[in-house]
Amino acid sequence: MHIHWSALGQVALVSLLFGVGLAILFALGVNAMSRRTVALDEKRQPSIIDTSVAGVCFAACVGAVLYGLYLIIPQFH
Amino acid sequence: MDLSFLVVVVIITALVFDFTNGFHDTANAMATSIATGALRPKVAVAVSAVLNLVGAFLSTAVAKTISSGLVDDTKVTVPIIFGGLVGAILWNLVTWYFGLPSSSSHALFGGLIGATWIAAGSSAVNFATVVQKIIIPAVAAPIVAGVVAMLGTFVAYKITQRARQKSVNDGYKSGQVASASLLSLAHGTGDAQKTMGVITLVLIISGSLAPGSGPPTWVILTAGLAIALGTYFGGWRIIRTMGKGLTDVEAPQGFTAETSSTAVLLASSHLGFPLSTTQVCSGSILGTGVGKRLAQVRWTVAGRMVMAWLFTLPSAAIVGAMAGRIADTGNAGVVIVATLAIVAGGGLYVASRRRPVTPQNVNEYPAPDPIPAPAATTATTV
Repeated sequence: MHIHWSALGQVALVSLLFGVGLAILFALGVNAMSRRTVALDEKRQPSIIDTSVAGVCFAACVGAVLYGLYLIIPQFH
Repeated sequence: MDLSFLVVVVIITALVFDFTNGFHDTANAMATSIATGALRPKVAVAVSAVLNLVGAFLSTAVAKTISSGLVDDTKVTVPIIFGGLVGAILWNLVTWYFGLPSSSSHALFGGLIGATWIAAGSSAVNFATVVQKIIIPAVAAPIVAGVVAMLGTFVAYKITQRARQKSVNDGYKSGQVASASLLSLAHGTGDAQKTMGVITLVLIISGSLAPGSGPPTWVILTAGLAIALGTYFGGWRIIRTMGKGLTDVEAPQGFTAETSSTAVLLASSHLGFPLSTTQVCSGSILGTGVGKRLAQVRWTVAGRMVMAWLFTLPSAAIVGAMAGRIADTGNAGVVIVATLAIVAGGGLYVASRRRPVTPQNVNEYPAPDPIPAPAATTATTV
């Protein structure tokens, strides 16, 4: 019997990288977005840093979704 | 096309299996979105149904062997396939009645193993392959997914703890729509193919199709429709267990669980270590419960779920073996098995109506065993 421990290890590592990586990215995006909303509510100019952090994080998440679609749809390969 | 009575019955049975596969697995992708209110229950199952249908057409890689080498495929006959399907359907219905997520693939493999064992002897079952392709992945899947979701949830709450809670909630709910949809599509490209493979092989074995043929268009269409219909029908009992029963899922947890499940499933299918969707998704939900500090994980529910996983293969195998044995005696045997299966399935359905779980009450998980239960709450218990 041959068990592909290395394949399982790879799956665990890649899952960890993408799963936790996306959780961090999205959380940073949500956090920045929230600071932006609070600033707007208080009639302040939202900081450019928050706006760009939110933009970059969500763009990265959209990228991950597109990569996921690429992996799922066999016609792309 | 000249089809024998048996072949027609088996094709219908395969489509019924596909339907149960659909409504059993709606919970995997959608339970967490329904629980957090990211999608309304009816909308969630509709989205999932459409994506399952699309997935069925996208992926044309239908399994060339019926059992992925678990049993000696040269010994597989049409009555064995029939027995296997009946075993799988009944196990899917029993676990649905108890609201427990369990793998439809494992049920199908269990049924086939049992039926083959009785018909062709234990030498026709490759036990080493069973350990390698079912047991090890079944143990690994919830652990890997659970750890990923746990860490993801922990950092998600850590990062957003000072943020305004309404923004956080709204943000994660929007994110959930994307993550749940992607998970549904990934599911659709895999699961309808199983039934297509079964029907195609039945047609090949019975001589209606040339060996090595792909599935005819009507097979792709009916299999896709059966799983989509099943998904839309929605296994509300299982959805409630996964969305509210294991742990009370909040939006950040729902998003993290869905993202973790998708990441694990895509990684596993592309790195050559396939893992079962049900076990991955359940593992993610448990992980996300543990990852949020002070979140309550109902370990008794989780324990019952794991018991269901342990029993899936042997239970489906026993039913599959008996059904296959009786069906092997001829058309009369096939009719007897089909009738018994319909009676058993109908009985479970009738029993489920006594305490129905519907889109309206899917998010109301009953309190654990209300001792002098008032009449109003007993109506919603599992």
